Amino acid sequence: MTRTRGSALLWLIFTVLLFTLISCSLLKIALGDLRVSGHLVNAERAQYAAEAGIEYAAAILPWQCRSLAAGWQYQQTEPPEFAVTAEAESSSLLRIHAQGRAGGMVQDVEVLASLRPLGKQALITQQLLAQDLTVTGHVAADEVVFRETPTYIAGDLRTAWLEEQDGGTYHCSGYLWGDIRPYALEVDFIGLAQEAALWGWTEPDCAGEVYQVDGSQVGPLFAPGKTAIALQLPWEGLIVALGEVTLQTWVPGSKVMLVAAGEVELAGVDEVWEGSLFIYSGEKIYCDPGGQLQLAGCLVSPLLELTGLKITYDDQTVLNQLELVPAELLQVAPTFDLQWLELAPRR
Amino acid sequence: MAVSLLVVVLTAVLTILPWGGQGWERQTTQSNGQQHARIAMEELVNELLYAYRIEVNPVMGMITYYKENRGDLQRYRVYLLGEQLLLDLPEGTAVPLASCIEGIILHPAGTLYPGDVLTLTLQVNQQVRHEVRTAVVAKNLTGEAL
Repeated sequence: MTRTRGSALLWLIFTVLLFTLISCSLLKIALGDLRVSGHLVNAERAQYAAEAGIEYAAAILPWQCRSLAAGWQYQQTEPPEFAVTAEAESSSLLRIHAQGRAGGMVQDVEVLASLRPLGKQALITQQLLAQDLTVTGHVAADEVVFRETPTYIAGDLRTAWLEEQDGGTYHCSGYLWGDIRPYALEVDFIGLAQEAALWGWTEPDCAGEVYQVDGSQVGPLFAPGKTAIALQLPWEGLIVALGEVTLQTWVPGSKVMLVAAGEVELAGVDEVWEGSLFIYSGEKIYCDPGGQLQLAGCLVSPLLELTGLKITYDDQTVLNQLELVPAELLQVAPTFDLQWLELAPRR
Repeated sequence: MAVSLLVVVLTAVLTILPWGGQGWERQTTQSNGQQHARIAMEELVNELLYAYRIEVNPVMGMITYYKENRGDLQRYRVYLLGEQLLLDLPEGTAVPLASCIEGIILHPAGTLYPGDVLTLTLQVNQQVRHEVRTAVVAKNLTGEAL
């Protein structure tokens, strides 16, 4: 009896030790789970940090699209912590890579960014007078007046002031933005004239004080006065005109970028101008109100007076002439279209 | 004294042990179900995030999406068979994404357009009675004019 006294204490100590051991094991498992959860949270934070890097690059790089040939990089050391690099695949395509970091976790994200030099805005103006107008693309105008027949906009309408006159209405499939950046675009034609003289741009033939562009000349063209464009052949290039311009005939497949100091008239009646057309006028762009004209492109001017026009946003001609485009035009509202790449496809 | 203490400890332990064991088992089952749901959700979000086109059929609990592979869009389809969430690959074979999934709730229905938020809810089986919900905005969707 005496020899077995104290065995209960041993059992007690053994039991306590056993359960201490079990508790420690459970604690270790719980701490492991906590660590795993922490890694998951940090991985998520790193992913968002990397995406923030992409968005940062996408917000500022469109404005510097001409100076990206040598690449670009940026590092942010404060949360969200990321490092971004951009490499030019072509003059209008960038590969942007971002690496996000959080709590020791690293995540990579990569996108292909295609430049949209005019931010998908088919019409950019101070004042738009629209009648029987159909736009596929955004419209940016300080003031808009819709007259008589309805206007259809498949995109956003960005305007500070709009009015419906004489029964005119509009249908906009996108957002209506009231808070806009006012139109303040002025192209430096003196600089363009100097550039044309320096690089020896072609001057079209002049007949009766009107420069004639028929598509047979090699671009870029510089017309120092009133100009008539009546294409006979598919033509691609830049035309700079210091006077009024009349666009009379079009040949399908043409890609024309017209930068004019004076008014520009679109004289096509019941025609479809296939191809790509960008027009900047320092004064006004207007259509012949007698018929219907359909084109793909973009119109930029302080005043747009458009009747019977069907326009679909297209920036191909601007992209083709990117090296020659006046710098001011690339500062209007450039954006990127982002294609997010799956770096490690699971299947 | 020690005997009394041992009796007290053993009584407490033997009372708590089976109850704790049941709880442990229950929690393990629940954790297992949640793990399945979490893995399924992570897979789904990762797949849908880079999709170029997504069609949602809430009635059938089915998502059809297209991803780019060497310049071509290839079709994938997620659906529920029994309690298994399966993924149809472009080659025609189906691989399991997760088990223990009793239901899948999707919103909105139809073809998704840029900016649309797809809400996914996975219902883990009855033993676990748990729902996991997330939302995803696919980054590469195209559609409409712009």
